Amino acid sequence: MDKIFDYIGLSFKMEVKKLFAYKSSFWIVFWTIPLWSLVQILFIETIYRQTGNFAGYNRFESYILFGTYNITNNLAYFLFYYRLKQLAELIRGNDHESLDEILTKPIDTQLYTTIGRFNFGHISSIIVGLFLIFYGLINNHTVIQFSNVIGYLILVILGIFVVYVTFFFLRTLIFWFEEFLVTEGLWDAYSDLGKYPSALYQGPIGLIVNLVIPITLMGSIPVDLLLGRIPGYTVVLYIFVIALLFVVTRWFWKISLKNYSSFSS
Amino acid sequence: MRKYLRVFSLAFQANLQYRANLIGWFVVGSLPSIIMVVVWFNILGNRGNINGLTKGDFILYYFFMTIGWYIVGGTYCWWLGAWIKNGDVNKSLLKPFNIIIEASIREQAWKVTSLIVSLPATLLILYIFRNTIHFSLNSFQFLVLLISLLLGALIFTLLEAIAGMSTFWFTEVWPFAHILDIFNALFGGRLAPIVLMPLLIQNLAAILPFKYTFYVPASIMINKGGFNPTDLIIQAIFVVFLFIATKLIWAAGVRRYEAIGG
Repeated sequence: MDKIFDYIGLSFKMEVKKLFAYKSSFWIVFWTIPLWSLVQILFIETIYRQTGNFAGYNRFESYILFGTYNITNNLAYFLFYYRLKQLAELIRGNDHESLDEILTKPIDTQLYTTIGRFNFGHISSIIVGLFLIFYGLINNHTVIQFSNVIGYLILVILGIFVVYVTFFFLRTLIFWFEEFLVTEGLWDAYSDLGKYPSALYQGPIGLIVNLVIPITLMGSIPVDLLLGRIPGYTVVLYIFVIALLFVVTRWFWKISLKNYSSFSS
Repeated sequence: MRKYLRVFSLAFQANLQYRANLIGWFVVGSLPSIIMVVVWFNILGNRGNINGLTKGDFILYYFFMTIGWYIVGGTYCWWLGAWIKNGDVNKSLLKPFNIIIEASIREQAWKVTSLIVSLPATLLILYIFRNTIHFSLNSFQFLVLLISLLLGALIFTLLEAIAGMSTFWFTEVWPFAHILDIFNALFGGRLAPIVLMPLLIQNLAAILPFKYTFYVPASIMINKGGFNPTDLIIQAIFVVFLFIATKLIWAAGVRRYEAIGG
């Protein structure tokens, strides 16, 4: 366990050093990524030009929802997206490191190959997300209970885990289909579903998106709890769901590692 | 011309090797459009239309945004940017071979292959919604649509070339590619029909080239406002303007280029 914390700590320090060495890269991400929020804000305004209620959400509740999604999504990008993105290169092997080399290290392979690159440029989007949540809450005049805030925060953390397990599962597919380059795009498309209210998805699709692989944990479900629309025990249900997903993806990772034939080196 | 046909042929064959990726990209391309249709259906509720757009129009509009990507769209500025960054652009400077055309041709090969792969799903969608969507173009309107698609594709290609050439001045192409994507979403109608967007966006879209890539052909296909010849004229003007801009930026970029690598 100490080794894992050492690894994460050292990686974090290294990324901070990189930040000072390549300042322009940081500032480009810092200013460019939040522009996507502008697109979604304009879309929210477009929706509420036509209706006062969209899937059970008023305009300000939609701002809270999108702010939450923005935070979850960008925390995921900040914490593990870039390392997970590297997985394809690790499997194929590149100039710097390869999976063959990593497998010999005395550290958990899943953690080592999925965590350890932090992109500080996403901090700006997290700030934008916080601003949107406060804007929505202040204008919505909702009385928020403290217990709901705690539940909301737990669900947001679970939302980050959902992003992790879904992207991790898709990237693990590269072990089986080494030229399957579309996994990033598939994950992007799936995680996009998380920015809309859960009530938008009905029937079997709703079951998948809200429960089986609950991508709406990125926004709608935490917000529903914050606004007191769903009971507190929902948190327990989703802890169970995420734990199950974690076990399944871990199992798939181990099977995939066994199947790995070291075609890179 | 033969050398570019060869590039197309090779790229086409290479793409066919990875059909699973093409199907995957089709899913990736379709999903946002499907969500958008669901969103607008939810807003429509029991109403018959929004600003004259019915359920069938929304399906047709976003269906075009998915399939139209394979005719108008693409993402070749990434390749162009990488070639400039790595020095691969050198071959374009020493031989009678234009790297922008090469990148564009490769992209066309990807688009044609994707279009073929996505054809069964396309036909299935059209069959499922045959009673909801109303495709009612006469032969003249169809010809106008084809011309508009061609002009839209040219505008898009030239905008991608300009974004890719930014690498002559900046080390990374992706911020410009992102900004291009954002502008296409907002002003190109890829996010929502421009007529439904806030007035500020509608006014800005009218003077920018992005509306003339996807939105104008989509409007012609939906066939709600009648044929407006001004749109085709503006499309043609933007093609000429962007072509000249591309030439000037390329010349300025090459003057600055130091041919490192390659």
